[in-house]
Amino acid sequence: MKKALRLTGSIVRDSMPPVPEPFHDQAERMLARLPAKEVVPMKKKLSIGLVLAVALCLIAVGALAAALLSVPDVVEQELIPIAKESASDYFTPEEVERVLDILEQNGLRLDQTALENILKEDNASKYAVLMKVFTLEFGKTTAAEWSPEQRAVASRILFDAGLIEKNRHLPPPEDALTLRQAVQSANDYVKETYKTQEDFFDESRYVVWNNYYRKPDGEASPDRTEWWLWFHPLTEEDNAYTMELNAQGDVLSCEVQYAPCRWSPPDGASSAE
Amino acid sequence: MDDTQWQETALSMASSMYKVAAGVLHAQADAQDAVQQTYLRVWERRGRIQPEKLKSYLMRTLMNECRNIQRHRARVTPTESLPLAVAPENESARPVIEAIADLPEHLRLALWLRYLEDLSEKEAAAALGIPITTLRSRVHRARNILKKKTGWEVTL
Repeated sequence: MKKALRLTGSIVRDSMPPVPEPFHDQAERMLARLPAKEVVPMKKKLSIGLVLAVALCLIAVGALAAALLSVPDVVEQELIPIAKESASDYFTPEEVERVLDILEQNGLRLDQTALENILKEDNASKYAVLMKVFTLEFGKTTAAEWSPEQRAVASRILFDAGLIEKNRHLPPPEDALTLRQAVQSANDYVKETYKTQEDFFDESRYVVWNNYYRKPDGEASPDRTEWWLWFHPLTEEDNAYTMELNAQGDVLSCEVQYAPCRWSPPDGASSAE
Repeated sequence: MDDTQWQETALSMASSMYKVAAGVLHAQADAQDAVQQTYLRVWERRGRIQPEKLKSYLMRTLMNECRNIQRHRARVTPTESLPLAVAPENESARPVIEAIADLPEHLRLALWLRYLEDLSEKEAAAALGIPITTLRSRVHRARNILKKKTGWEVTL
């Protein structure tokens, strides 16, 4: 059976070199002599040069703040190069440390749970780490709750870096149905078909997951799925719905789980792929 | 903070500072010099240091002094190999204690400073000049190495 040990201050201190007996007295004497070594500092005049230097420093600080990168830029310009240093799907502990340093330098900090998940294993999945970093800007913890535009940014960056095999989350064109319009179409369809009073916009009742897919050629096809939407009820009274919509907002399929139901999104619903 | 309080705080850090310096420099005399120089430098700047940051400032300055001493040695390898405590408080944990002493310096320092009772986690990170997240990741890496080396289930 493996021995178990909890590291304590006492154990760690035992690993440090011992302090020679007379050192404490020596330190006390050193400190007692310090006032005698007092140096009176020269008074500095506030010169124009000093004022200018301070002003320049303030400008530099302002410029630095303005130069802080957005999260997608940090991922693309600073973290992806680290990910590309090896063919492995995992960051080494040293690479994780560099990633965390870069985040810190850019004023970004992962929440405690995300950090612990990353540090828990000897190696951390590059894909998982970068997805966690994206949540710092996109807010929601699952990619399926991001907007199609946000998902498209993350997918492009991860695809270009070779961390995902397909990039199906292209940004919606200007004239495309928005997520809100797609949800509205779905909501209208459900009310009409099932004669219920579901309200998919009520955040106390539903969590909406979305997947927006567009072919690279942008070709519109009336019966091709562009939106996959999952409406997960937060109450025991509401049904769950899984729906597919085409580019025009027509419902192509609708699957209902009647209340009370358990939320079971399909595999991969929240991946960047 | 008046001078007496300053000296009391500095004295309370003396043992920890010596241990860290000795662990970096592997020589008693150099470690004592590093602590003395640190006291002198920080004393000269005491008017500009916020009282709550004094401990981390002392440790940070000590680290700088250790680096200065290492540079002045001009690549001379230290001859002393400082022993561990002859009778550690935790004799049953000796394999782990020895494994900590063998850790690479940056991981060992992270662990030492993280567990020094004089310093909070924030102060330890500031003393090493690294973000808290880096300190935590180094501590975790140190723990993983200890687990591998000793075969023990080491937890933090």
